[in-house]
Amino acid sequence: MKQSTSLRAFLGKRSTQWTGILVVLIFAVTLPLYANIYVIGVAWNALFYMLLALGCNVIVGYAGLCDLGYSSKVAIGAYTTAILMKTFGWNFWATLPVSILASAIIACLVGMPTLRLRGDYLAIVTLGFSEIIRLVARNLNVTGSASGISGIKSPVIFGVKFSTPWMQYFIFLILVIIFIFVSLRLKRSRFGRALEYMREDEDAARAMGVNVPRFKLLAFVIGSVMGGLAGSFYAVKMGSFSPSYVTFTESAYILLIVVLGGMGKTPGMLLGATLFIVLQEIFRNVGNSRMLIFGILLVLIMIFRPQGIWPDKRPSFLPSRRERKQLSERTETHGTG
Amino acid sequence: MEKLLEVEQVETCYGKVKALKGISFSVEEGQIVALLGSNGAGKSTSLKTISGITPASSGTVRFMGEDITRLSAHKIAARGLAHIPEGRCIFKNMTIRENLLLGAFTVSSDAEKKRAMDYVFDLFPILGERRKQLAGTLSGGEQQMLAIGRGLMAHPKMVMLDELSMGLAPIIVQQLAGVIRKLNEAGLTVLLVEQNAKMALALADYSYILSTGSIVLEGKSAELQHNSDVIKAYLGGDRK
Repeated sequence: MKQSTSLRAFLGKRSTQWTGILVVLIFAVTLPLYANIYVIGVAWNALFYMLLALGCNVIVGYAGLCDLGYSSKVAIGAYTTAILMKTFGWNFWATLPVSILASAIIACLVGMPTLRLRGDYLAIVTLGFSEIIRLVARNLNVTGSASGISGIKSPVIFGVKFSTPWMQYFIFLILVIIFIFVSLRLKRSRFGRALEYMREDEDAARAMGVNVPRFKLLAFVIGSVMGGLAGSFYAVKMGSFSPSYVTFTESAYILLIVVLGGMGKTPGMLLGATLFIVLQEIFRNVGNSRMLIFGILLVLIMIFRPQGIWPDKRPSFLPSRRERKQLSERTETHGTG
Repeated sequence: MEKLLEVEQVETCYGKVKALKGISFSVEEGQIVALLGSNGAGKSTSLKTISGITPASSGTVRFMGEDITRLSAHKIAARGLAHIPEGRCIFKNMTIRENLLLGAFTVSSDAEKKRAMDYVFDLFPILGERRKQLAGTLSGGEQQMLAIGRGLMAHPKMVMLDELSMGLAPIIVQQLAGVIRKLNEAGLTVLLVEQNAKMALALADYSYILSTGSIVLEGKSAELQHNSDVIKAYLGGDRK
């Protein structure tokens, strides 16, 4: 017990946290120096899922809305960029604002009538919407129907083609850092607090003056825009995008990372995405039973760490066993239960 | 005296069930008014209807002369009408400070928030001592203090307290009643909802008695205390 509290204090210290962040950052930046193409590829994949998890976390973790169709939000961004570049010959960077706008508008259109639904019902709506996106994309000419859009030109950044693996790695690393920054700022803002109150007790939050529908919609839009941006970069990275990406499995993976990492915890998203990708690579030779092992692991984690793998927030405020004992004694003697 | 809150012929339904069957009452500025009644009488529904959480299906609610019947909950709260919900509804996984900050959600100035918080800590020193502790570690009475404190953070003109005494030891109830009286003397208008009729009648200037969604009796609390019907129904049988 004593050991674990001292460990807790050590981990809770500012200096330890900053050292940890620095070590991870240095490792991430220098990775392409000693890693081979395969490792960089895997690392890029992890970074991509970090982006998705961070975006999905705003909707699922911060706002507590159950979203089963996050891959459709990625698709909106990816298709916007792909169509503008391929059909209209736009520059990649010029497509980004449009991609953001398209994501936001569609999120508003879907969110406004449906966000008043709670829990399971919202999950079904997002799932259904995701299916609509997939079917529409598969049947429209402008989205290249079932085969999708391919041959999206790779942009040139600072004289280096985006198609170079380490360039892709760095661009996604920078994106992840931006997303982390946005997530942390959001969480600490008035908006983040409003969402936290709302998630804990919606009626109490409303009675205290929190405009619940507005904040829910805002979270939904922000999460969608983050997904759309990730999608735009994904489209130019892959050079193509097809409706086969928009599947329930893909959305479920993203949700899985969010739940696995610990809803609402930014570092948890990074850890969850890394674990998800690394485990997938480790179990690659197991073949089709890979997902079975994955499922077992997930069940085990949920049994032993139901709040997700990242440690609980603010451990310093949680009463230790001794404090709890004192507290219960105090309330017993006062009899105020 | 001026009427701060007026409820006129309000009906509220949960689906097909009418929880309020056209009730009317009013609260004058500076008064403490109590709504009494047993389980399912519609007490909590009345408060939720006034604060906009479960809007009325017909009738009008006026606060400071303005019709607030159709306003959404957050707008009503911003007009200075605080609702302290039943069961306290505090955020157990957040600190006391964070809980209080929710109460000041409609306040934008930091100085104002700080002043409101100091005021609450002055009223309930125990909360000040534990401001960084998680609210879930507080005792029941302290949690109720926190709920009241949170309701006061936005400097409301009127507070609505739902079941202040629920699950609390008599001595704590007395202590809280003292705080309510003190707040009232400082100019706060209070609407109480209670099952504990004895406490409510002792505290309130005027009381209404609800039964299955209608007001069956009203009057000055001092008079109701001696009314044989009330004694029979709420103050313990045939005691003289």
